Amino acid sequence: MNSRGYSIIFIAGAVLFFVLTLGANVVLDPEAVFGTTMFPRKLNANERVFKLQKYEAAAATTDAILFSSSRGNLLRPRLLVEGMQASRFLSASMSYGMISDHLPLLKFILRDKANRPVKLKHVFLLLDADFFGRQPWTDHNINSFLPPDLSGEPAGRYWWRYLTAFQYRLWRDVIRANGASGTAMAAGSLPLDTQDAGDNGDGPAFARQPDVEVSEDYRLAWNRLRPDLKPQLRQLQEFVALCRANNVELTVVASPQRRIALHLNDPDEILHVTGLISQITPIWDFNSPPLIADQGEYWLDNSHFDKSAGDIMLQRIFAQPVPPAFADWGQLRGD
Amino acid sequence: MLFNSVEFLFLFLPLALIFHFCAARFDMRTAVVVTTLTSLFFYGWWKPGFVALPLLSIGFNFCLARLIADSDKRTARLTLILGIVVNLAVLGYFKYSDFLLSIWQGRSPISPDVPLALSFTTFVQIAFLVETYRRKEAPPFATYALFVTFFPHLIAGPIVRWHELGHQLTDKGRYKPDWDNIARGLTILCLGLAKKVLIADRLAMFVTPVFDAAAQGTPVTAAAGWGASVAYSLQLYFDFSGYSDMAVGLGLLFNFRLPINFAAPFRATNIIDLWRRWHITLSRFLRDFVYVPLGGREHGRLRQSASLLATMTLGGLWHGANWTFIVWGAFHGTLLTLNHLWRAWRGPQPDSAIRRAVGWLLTFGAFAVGMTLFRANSIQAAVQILQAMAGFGDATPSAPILVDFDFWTMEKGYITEQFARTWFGSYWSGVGTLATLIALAIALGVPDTMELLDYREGEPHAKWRRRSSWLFWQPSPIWAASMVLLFGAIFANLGTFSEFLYYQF
Repeated sequence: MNSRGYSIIFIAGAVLFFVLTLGANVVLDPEAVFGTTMFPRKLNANERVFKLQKYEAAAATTDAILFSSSRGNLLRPRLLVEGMQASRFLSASMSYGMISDHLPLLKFILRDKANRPVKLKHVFLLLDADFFGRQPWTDHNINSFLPPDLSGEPAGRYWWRYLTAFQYRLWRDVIRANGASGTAMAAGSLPLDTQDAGDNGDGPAFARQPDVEVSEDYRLAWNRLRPDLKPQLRQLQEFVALCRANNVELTVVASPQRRIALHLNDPDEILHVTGLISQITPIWDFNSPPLIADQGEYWLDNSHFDKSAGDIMLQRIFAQPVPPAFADWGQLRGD
Repeated sequence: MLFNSVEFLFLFLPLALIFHFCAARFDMRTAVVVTTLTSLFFYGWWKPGFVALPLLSIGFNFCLARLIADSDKRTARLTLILGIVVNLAVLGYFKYSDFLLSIWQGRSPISPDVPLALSFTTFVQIAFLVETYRRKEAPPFATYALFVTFFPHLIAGPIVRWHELGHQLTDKGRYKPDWDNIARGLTILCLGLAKKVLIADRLAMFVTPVFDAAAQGTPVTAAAGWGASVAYSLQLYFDFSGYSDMAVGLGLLFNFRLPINFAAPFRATNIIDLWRRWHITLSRFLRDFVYVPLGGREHGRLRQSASLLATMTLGGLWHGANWTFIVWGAFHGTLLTLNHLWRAWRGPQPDSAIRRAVGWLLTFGAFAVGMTLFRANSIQAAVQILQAMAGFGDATPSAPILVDFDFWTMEKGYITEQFARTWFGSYWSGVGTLATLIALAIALGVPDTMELLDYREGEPHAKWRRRSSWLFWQPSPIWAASMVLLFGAIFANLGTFSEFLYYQF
């Protein structure tokens, strides 16, 4: 073999890896960004993209939006619509959704709404005090890149990242998931077409997860770290200012925490973070008092409250009757 | 843009090569201009605004070089001094001004926003001015611009000299693709990528928690201190020698031969030899432009020791505006001085396996201790780890395990939680230890890229090479298949963003 043949084999091999990667990403489309339908079950879907598409599809009529993490899926849209007196509600809840995700989407929507007759009237912002200030997923994980319309990033770079990511395990799992019909979806991979099926209704159903023992003390130390707290407080300030400037009524809520989450994060520290938020905008704090923290029946897992808890929260916020035991649950701080 | 990024490997590099050789079909000068522009594009990818600095610097130094070449000796000497002072002043302004101010004001320095490659281009251009002063001849502007900006060496070296690269840039015969060089270049590039992506980046995840803990003032165990220091020594070696290999490989794709920067330094059995084999082009620069002018070995032992200490301290400072680098440089200056004194005292000694083993252990151990200073972000953090390494750390076995590398080994029953807590503490792990030992075995046992490819450009001496000719590269199907597979493994790991460590210097 001569040097020419050697070089050609090497280059051909490298190009083959590259082309196969591009092909696998487009065909299998694990993040559901290319819109390829050959393998419809997307295991690592980019919900940020999906939420933007949902908004664009209903942009003309939407007048109320819920911004939240996946915990927002437990708030019944029907109650939100009633409470916000909205005609068309959109849920922008997304896995690990944080203020760094919500602010760009709100900016986009307000820009878009400027030229539409139906304006945005009400925003419901559900914040997770246990995650606030943590390193956000936004633009960190491949399934959380903000689309260029939101991030302002050049479209070429955005698509290049999705085209060239080598994600062998996800490709394999997509093929497996699509091959085995009826197989349960992996955690965090809710089928996109059902996530918002309940807009203006009851929302999707969620299975209750068995309690998970979290006893490792190593988590305690990590959970106290909030490296992104100041930037996120600034983003929240901007979020609030935008709502005020555009005459959008804003309801901000701190989601309740289960006892294990309070333990791992330090209850006082959670209160402190909520206090910082309340200096920016009034916030309904459902850890004051932590009424359901020890009541397992109100929890789907260690992180997500269930819909009955969500119902009571919304009834409290929108001044509707609640069961007597919950009459004092939730405190409006910073009012 | 990083050498270890998909956009560099599959977009920028192929296009740069195509533009270069297509332009060369018109004439050499066009190719020189085109490749200078692509190199500036490569540089500007980080921060387009910073392109102005190398452009101004190149223009300024070129004018000085012309002046030096065309004027009498006295004027030329003054111009040379002016050039050196201005180049160092620019470097000092961007890199050291806040550090000096912080000393004056008694506060902590702020990490400066140094334009990429400034440290390297400053040295390249100072060496060029000195060479111009000696040769009394300045090249055409376009050739000089390519000499400085040629992207394979632009960001982190090797620090090239005009006498090494200049004659190649003006050789018309080099502006046609050469399949032999392309084959060698691709192989060296691939091996360099493997060092960076498959070894250095893996070690980083074990190193970071220990040094981050020390930076927070958290105690670590002795095993954690030694483990992290040795692992960081290896990480830096594989990271920087990988980068240097890539630079050489990329140079070969363009038919230019850049000097080697590493010659298996961890096989050295004394610190003098280690420094001849570690970051060779920097050591050479410091020797020629600092150590020798300070007196070198010509004025007795005391002067030599002082020169060595000053040279290495300045070498340390070159790496960054932090006391850790200064102390690191002084530490190595002291080691070199001791090594020279030892040699003078003992005279030539017969070679033996035991001597080599003891020499290696002392050399590598001292280097790892020095790396603690190099990696730590403050003297206090370095002291924290050094104390632990000396057995005076405050880590307690009751502290929680904060890295999860060992969880699976505990689940499998390979080690107990108590063992991990006692020996590794919160931040180090058995898996980290194993990975470090494997990397060390590779550094010591596997022939280096430049040995495999028999590439000898700019090496200080040939004594470091081993005779393992059966492994030497040749354009064979086995080598081709191996490299394609290796590239596949690299490609699968390119996804994570990982800058080269020497970019920060």
